[in-house]
Amino acid sequence: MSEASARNWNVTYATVIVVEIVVLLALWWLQNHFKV
Amino acid sequence: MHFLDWAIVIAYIAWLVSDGIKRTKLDRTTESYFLGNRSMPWWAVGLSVMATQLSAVTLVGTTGQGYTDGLRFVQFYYGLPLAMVILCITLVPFFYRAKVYTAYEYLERRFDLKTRAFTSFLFLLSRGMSCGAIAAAPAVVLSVILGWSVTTTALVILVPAVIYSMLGGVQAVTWTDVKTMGLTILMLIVAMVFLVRGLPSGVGVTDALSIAGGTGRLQAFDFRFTLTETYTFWSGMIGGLFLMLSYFGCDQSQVQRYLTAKSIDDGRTSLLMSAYWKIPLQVLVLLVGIFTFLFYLFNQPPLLFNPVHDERIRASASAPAYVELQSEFQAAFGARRQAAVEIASSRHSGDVREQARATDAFNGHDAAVRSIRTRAAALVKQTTGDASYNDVNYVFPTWIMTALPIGIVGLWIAAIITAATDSIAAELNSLSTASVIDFYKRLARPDATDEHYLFVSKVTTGFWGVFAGVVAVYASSLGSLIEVVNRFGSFFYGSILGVFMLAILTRRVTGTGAFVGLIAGMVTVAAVAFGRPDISFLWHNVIGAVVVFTVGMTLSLLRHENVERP
Repeated sequence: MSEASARNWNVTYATVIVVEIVVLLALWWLQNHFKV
Repeated sequence: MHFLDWAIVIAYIAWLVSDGIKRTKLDRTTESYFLGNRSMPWWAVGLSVMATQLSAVTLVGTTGQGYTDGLRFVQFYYGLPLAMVILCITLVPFFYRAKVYTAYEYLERRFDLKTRAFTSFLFLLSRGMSCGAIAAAPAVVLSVILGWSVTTTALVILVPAVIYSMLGGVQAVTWTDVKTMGLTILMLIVAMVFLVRGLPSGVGVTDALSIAGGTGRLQAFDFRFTLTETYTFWSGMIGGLFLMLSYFGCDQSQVQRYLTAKSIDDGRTSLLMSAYWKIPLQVLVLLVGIFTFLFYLFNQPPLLFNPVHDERIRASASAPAYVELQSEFQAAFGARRQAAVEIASSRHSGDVREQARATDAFNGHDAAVRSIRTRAAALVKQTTGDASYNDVNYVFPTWIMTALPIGIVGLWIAAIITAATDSIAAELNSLSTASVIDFYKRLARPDATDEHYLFVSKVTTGFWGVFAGVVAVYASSLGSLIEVVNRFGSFFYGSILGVFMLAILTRRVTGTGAFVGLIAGMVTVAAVAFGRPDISFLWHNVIGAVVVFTVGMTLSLLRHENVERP
């Protein structure tokens, strides 16, 4: 694999983690917004 | 079920099978049969990876879990995205560069034959049995809902899987997975639309979510650090991470999916599809379960969702007690519904104190309803002798059969049957690959022609199909055996991951070190499972992997020192 390709993958992996954090934050909001 | 629904179910299954058979023309070699000539598009592989895990149990059991426990279950998957990233960096490139057919083949190249054969044997044993269990669980539910025998429903699920996986190989399995994922997602969205439309006037979606929130069903985070709970944030993040690493990285039924991709990059992209979509998909399935709960707050549910048990109790000596329970249930249901309406109206008026009061009242009535249901389930167990009876598995199928219009019912039943069918087909295909590549070709007939191996592969797929059928049909009498095998499976999941960690992360570890480490890991997990049964199985994966890695490293280092200093 070329270095350029490796760099692209690092961006992809970081995106996966960021997307998971966003999904978890959305679930956190859902949990707390509708808590009575 | 209406004849139009039957027509849809039959037509859909016939289409799946015929498409599978059509693909036999492409299968001239074992590489094509097992790996689709390593030329499948990444998106089809990604959907296939997701479809293999999404069996009928997900559609029936997980919606049931959403109905009773809400979003809690989703924490199980919190470690999955990170696991996918780790696998993309570590195992995926190794598998592609080694040009292997099975994950275990790689272990012989790195260690020795005994490590490969043993891990592959463990896979065959556990997956062969679980294949039958995958068919048995929905077969039991469908037999009750459709009024057929368990044998008939098991055959309806298994026969199409055997035909197209046997004749069409991995390509048929992958393209069927794509269709099934498409149908399943469509039907989940359709279910949500109908469930939201089923709410009474004056109760909106946010009101409904408030009611669910008041019962704790929207709780998606439990930050307690305890080894005894499966569904907590830490169990999912740590135990779940190890389970997903093992499942997606070391289990042939998953590894074979992404080995069919064109390149390392395509294999990675297909795996990352699960990293992005698995948690949202599980949330959707659980929300369907939660909205089924909300639907039955405002629409009269039966006391027992299993109609067969309902009839049996009415005809038994327990009938008077059952009738009394029903009148109690009626009253508790009415009071709970009234409290739910009050929650919605207090939200509209913005009266926070009244909303808290109505929520408290609602939870009190909900507890009463649950208590009555528990007593009814106890009556079932006492009357029918069915000790493992779980009414939750019948909630969503009952909603499908009674609340949906003609046509949609047929599509849902087709989705449930084919979700089971294509999970089984993927398992059969991987069982055949491991049997032929790791044992027949490696040990019995190393010098035969490719044509011969292709023939043996198809026969082996058929054999595993028959094996799964026998397990499925006799599942009820094999109950304890299946449990033992499933438990046995959990003993080695983390341990096999430990062997792969040794293979990739270390250079000094020898085959014997890895093999002894594997045995030590399995024994340790078995000791923990029997000695401390309260510890959640998710932690078994962590324990197994750590023990194998430590023992394997220590043994190999000691041996290395002995060799250097005789």
